[in-house]
Amino acid sequence: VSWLDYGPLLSIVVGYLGFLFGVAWAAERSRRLQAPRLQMLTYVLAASVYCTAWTFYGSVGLAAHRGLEFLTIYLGPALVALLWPFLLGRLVRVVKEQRITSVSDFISSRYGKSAPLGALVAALVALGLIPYIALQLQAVSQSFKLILGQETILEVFDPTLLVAVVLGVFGILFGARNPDFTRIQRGLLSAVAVESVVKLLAFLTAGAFVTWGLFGGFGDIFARVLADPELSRLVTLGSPPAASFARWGALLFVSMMAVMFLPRQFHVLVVQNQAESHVRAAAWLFPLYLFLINLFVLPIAFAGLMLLPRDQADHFVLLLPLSAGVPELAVLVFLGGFSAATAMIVVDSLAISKMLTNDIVVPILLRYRSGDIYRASLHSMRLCIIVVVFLGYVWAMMAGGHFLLVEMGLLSFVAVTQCAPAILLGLAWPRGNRRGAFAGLSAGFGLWFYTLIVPALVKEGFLSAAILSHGPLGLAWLRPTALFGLDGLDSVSHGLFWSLLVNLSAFVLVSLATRQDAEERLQAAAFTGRFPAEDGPSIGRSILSPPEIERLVHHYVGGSEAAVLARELLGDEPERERSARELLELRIRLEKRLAASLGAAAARFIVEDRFALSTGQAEQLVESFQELQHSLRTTEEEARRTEHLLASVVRSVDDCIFTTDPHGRLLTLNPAGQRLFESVESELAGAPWWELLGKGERGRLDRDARATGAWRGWKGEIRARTQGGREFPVHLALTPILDRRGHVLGSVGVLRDLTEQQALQRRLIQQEKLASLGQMAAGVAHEIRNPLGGIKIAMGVLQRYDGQDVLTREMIESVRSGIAEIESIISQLLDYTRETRLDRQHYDLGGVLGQVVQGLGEEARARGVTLDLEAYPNVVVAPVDGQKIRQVFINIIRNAVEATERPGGRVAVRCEAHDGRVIVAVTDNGVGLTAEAREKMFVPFFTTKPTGTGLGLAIVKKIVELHGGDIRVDSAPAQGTRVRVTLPAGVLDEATSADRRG
Amino acid sequence: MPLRELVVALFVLGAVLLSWPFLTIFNHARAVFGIPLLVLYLFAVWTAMIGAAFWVTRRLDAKP
Repeated sequence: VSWLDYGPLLSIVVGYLGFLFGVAWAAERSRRLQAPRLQMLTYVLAASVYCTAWTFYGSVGLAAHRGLEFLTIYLGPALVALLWPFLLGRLVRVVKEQRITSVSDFISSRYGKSAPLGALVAALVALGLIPYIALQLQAVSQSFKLILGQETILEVFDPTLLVAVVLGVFGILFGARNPDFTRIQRGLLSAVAVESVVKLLAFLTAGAFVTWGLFGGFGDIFARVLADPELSRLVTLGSPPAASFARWGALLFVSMMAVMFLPRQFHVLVVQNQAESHVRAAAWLFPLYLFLINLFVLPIAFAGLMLLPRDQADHFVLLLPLSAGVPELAVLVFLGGFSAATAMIVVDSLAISKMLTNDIVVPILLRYRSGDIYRASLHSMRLCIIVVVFLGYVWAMMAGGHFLLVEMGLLSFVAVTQCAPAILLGLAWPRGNRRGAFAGLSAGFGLWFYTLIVPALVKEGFLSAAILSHGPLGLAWLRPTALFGLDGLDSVSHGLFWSLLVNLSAFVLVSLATRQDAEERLQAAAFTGRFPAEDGPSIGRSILSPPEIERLVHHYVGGSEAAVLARELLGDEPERERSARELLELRIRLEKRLAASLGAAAARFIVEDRFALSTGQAEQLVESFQELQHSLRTTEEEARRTEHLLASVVRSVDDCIFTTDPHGRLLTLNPAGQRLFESVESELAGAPWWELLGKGERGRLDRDARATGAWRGWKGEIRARTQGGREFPVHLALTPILDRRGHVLGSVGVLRDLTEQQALQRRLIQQEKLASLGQMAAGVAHEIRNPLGGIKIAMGVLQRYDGQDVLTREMIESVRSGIAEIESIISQLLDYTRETRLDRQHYDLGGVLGQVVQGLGEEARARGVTLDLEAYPNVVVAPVDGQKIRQVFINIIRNAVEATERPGGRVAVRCEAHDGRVIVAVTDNGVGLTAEAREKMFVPFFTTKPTGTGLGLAIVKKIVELHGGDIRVDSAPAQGTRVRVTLPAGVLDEATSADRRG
Repeated sequence: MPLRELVVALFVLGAVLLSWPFLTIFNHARAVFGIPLLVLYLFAVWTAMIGAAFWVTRRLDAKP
């Protein structure tokens, strides 16, 4: 074994510390060292402060004693790192938003900025962590002893004290220079990152030396291990002395929590995070670092077990190079371990001092109203660093307490795990409240102390061993390592189980049983994101005027800092007028700004204490706000229901309904409107509503309505125009929508299509015109008939006069036939117009039809048409005017014959009776009728024949209708025609008809 | 599957792979490739977790 001399080693240590100062100093000044990629790498390496001397020396020791158990401390973080992109990212966002600076600050802030809760967490975490710091200093001290051999000078002066002092100074210079912890401590982080590189390189080098220098590689070492039954038990689980599965799981879990919530981890990973992308990078780079630093732990441990005495296991990594006679490597390893220890001491003492200052010292100072609280907090923090490091040193140097130190690494992990429910549920569960957190944390830490610290104290001899074996006061069920008789677990799983169970249950049950106050609700909302964020319902917060803020800043923050802060908050014009909203934001910014330096609880104390409402008032306000929100919600529901009703009405009516904005641009158009304008709403939306009108109408409306800004609506008939350009008449009612103050919000228009209505009106007018024309024609006919009678008689006389030549006779004959035709026309006209009276008698319609068909038979034959009357078995009797009904049938049948005039033409007449009505159908296979002719055939004077008055069918229709029947025509060109005349009738029964025929 | 759920699933999978009773499958004192089986298994799972985290990071960085 070759030992180093005291002098050179001390100079190496001092030189290394100087190098770290240089790194920190350079990092704070050099712009080049602030490249984004380098910053990300710095973040990941700084997070590797997780690997302390406990890792560097302890992992090997643990592996040598308990096999693979040490891996859980690194597998847990690697596992939870998978969740970091979301979990840690969320934590970082909340912490940035709230300007949180530590674990205790986080818990205090989440649960209503409660100072007592913060104080509790700070005190308990410090209690759990100071022995851990002591462990690091002891490791440094031990490594000094080992590398220097039995130097007597160590009895006089232990360089560990020097190291402790230098680390304290380092922490003050690069960490506690500014009380605002949300600022990036670039120098500190860079130095820690460099130390991470040194410890990794040192360990890898040592590992490679042992594996390939002293042995023949992994295969060689493991082959020897497996050949040795005692050593081979260390590479499996569950067989003593290796860890049980319960302990394995417990360690996996606590290391997951510790890697995020240990003060140094929270500080580096969360508080000092600069970008969320760094969190994502850390999610895989950090586990990779852990992987590398653990690669050679087992080979070193087994090499040590094979070459060195087992009780030196904690220092195998240093002793193996020393015993192999490679002091240079031993120095590198020493520096690696030194780096691991010092980085942890600096960051943890800094984080703990911040907790103690913000959550214990500052609230006490505030209670006594000391002046410059800002400067006082800074001094307090620096003092706390020294105190924490010094306490650690004292503990490390104590004669006793060795066992406790070794165990302390794990025990502090379990201690920190007690904060996990309050933090993680605090992010996810809005109902978790201050009392619950207080109960959970107190109970959890209480059980942690009882189940884990008390047994350690017993082993140290501070307490009687009887407590472990028989329980306190002889109560066996209270034995600290087998609480309530839970036996068979190792102490860590046992302690974790009880402390976490009680912690979680107390937290949840008390939270459910108690109520939150206003501030807690606001904070719960901000942390869980389940309600409007903090800036939303800032009810319960007073507004501070700029002069008040300035006075406040100067009162609590001394000297130049105050001026800077006031300037930061108020800008260049502190006297500027500000709205209430701005003032409120200003006040929130002030509080957050103070929180960054003094902690959430103290910041609230400062801002609230002097000006704000009492808690009771604040609570009332929050409640009234919530009620308001609630009532708004119900009104909203009702409004939605009414709106729905209204919308369905608008949708279902047949009139077009549209709405416009104040400028007349279309907003909505109901489905009827969309049909009417042959368009969809989206096409028209935004267009001026008068686009719906005909081209010529727009100007008219301009004059009437549109031109005036505050028009009163418009009503009237107007022409509308579809998108396709078709214009049609509409009735439009346009009504403005006004708000309470009479401002125009828009307008609603109702359009009714008048096309059909106007067509109907036109038809009515036409009919009236026709009727009066008919009456005039009748009058004319009547007047013509009298002189015509005279002419007719005179012609009769002339005819009888002898001595006429042939020519004269022919002319007279021609005049007479002309007169006959005029008479016939006149009588038809008079028939049509005259008030016709029916002389009803019961006629056998079959008989009437038979006579008519017989009478027309000759004419039909002459025209080559077959005319048939289809027999009907029953006798049909109807009360009709025989003369007139005969005229009807003659007219219809003759028309049919004339229309069918060709060889093969066929006219069939058929008579049948149904339900008290007789139907006479005349069907031909003639030329048929066009649609227009069919429509107009009953109109007077309409005719398709070269001769004729066009009154025949008009008279037919009139007579049929006088009888209370109707007449229908089915026809199409070249398809023939069927005319059906329906008349009211009675049917004689079969027997009677048989009699008649008989 | 959305990335968030995938990450939680990976975490649960990792937890199962690293816990009782799954570990008992590999809990034998024999060598594979010269390395004790359990050691090899744990380091393999570790590597897979780093790979998964790397993949998730790449996916997240790809869509800002």
